[in-house]
Amino acid sequence: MQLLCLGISYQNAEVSVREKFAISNKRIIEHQQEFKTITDGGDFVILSTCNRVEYYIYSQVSLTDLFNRLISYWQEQGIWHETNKELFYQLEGSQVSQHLCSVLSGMDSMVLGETEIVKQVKDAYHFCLEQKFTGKELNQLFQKSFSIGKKIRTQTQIQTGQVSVGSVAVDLAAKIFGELSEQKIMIIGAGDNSRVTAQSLMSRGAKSVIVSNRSYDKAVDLAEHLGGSAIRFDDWEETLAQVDIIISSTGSPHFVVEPAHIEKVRKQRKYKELCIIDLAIPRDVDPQVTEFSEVYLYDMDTLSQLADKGKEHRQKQLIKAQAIIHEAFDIKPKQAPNQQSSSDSLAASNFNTL
Amino acid sequence: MVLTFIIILLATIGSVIHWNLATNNKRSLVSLVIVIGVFVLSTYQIYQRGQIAQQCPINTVQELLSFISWAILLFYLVIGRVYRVSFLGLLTLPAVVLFEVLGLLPSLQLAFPSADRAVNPILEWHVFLLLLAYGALGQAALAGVLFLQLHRVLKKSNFSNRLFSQMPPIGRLSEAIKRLLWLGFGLLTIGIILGFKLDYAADSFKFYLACGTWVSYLILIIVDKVRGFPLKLMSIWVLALYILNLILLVSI
Repeated sequence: MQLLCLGISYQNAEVSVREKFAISNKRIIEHQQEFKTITDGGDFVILSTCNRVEYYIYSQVSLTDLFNRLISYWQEQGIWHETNKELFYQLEGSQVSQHLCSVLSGMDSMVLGETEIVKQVKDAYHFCLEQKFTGKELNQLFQKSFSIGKKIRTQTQIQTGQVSVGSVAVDLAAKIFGELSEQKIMIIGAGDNSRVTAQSLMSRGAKSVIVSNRSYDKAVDLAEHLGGSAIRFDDWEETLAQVDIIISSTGSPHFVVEPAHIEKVRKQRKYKELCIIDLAIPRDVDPQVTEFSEVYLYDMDTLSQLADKGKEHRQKQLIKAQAIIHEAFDIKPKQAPNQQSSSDSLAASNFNTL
Repeated sequence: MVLTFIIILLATIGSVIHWNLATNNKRSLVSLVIVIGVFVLSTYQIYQRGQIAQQCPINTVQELLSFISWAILLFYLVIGRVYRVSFLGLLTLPAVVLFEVLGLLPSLQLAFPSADRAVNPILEWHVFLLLLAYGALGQAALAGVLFLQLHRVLKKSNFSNRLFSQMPPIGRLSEAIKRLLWLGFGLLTIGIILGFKLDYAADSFKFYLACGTWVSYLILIIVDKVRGFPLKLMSIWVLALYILNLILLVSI
């Protein structure tokens, strides 16, 4: 009996391949029963997220046999292609523990250090636990890995610093206003960038959104999606006095927001802080608006640079995180390159992808 | 004197610890414990001086400065947690060091001519409230300094600044500055009203100074309330007014 892991993730496989092996919530119970047969009654946890499908197994069946049985199963399902074989990683023994810790700490995630994976792994584990598909060994593995994953997140800064333009913008807005729940947002230009950034702001508590777009219908659509209100493009200047945050992302070839617009509403706004996020290229907001002391303007260049720095910062934490895993599993820190464990390789390839 | 040196030493150590924690993006209760320690020692220092003088210890500029630094610490402990601006400790402890060191200048240790007069509770309350007001307004000035630094970082997008991630948001600093301004102004008002009941008020430069301070802060508050103020301008005014008042107080 040994610990095994078979998986496919975003690192090797494109979404068009991963989605074939993904297991929907509707199918999971049925699939668990089928997998129980494949493993000859072994213990297992199945993790299926948008970025990975992984089987953690404790079984007497060898890894090669197990993989072959799964391939037969997938062939029956009509989803197997011979080229897929190279995309799967196969781990045994301590490699499994190390890999699970990497997954749980976000070291193996597409967005390095992201926290959503913890919930996804916990849900997958508890689901299999409730169905009595896990035994003592897998329970110990997961409990220990949860604890190491938590240790990595608290003792390193793997989840600090923002890595996307949207989250950087939200952090800057929060640095200006503190709580975002009282702030009013105006979106000028209902593109994808605006939508994502507005969603990030709303996930941090912002409630009031006004959308303005040249095509009024698009403005209405986005406003409905965000639970806000739409205004006609000609009316955004009048609304300026009421808002605290502007997200601008139009396709305009010239400046949309100019100093004169701000000047007009300064007194009315009582010189309150105004945060402007300019996501457009070419820029929508004349940089001269920063002459007004209460205006804080951030364009795509600034936000991208910050996001890059955030990524760099998280990547630097990988070494510390790896050391915690090595310490937990009593592995000598310096390994020859050809002796690198599989999870090391996965973490390294993650490093390169970002 | 020994106690003053201990306060200076502890506040200096606290300043260094605060700075190290802030620049290394860390938090620790140690810094708060040191602020409390300096506050307790300052309280004891004032108590001891009061016992020696058998009245409120407000007979030298040094004593006034000690009182103000004590009040600044008091307001830091009150607002630091309430408005989640505990980062202000980074400036509060150096301010204490500055006030205490300044108080050691020989010329500031000379007793005021009126020091030997009989104990007068109204006078003591009057001065005590004015010094408390100076504490609140001093803390507002420190919050203003912090705002100006944060404002500079945010305007220039200089996010590599080592203190940036630990700094409280502008919204919280703004709230703290305005509340402290109101609090200081309120204390100043009550102190001045009490001052009118005193004989010395009519010919005391310090009293006129307090009245001048009161008028200047009144203007600031009214302008902010009626038409609004860019926070940068407000911070500069709060800081400038405070420095001016301190210089006048020390140079009397």
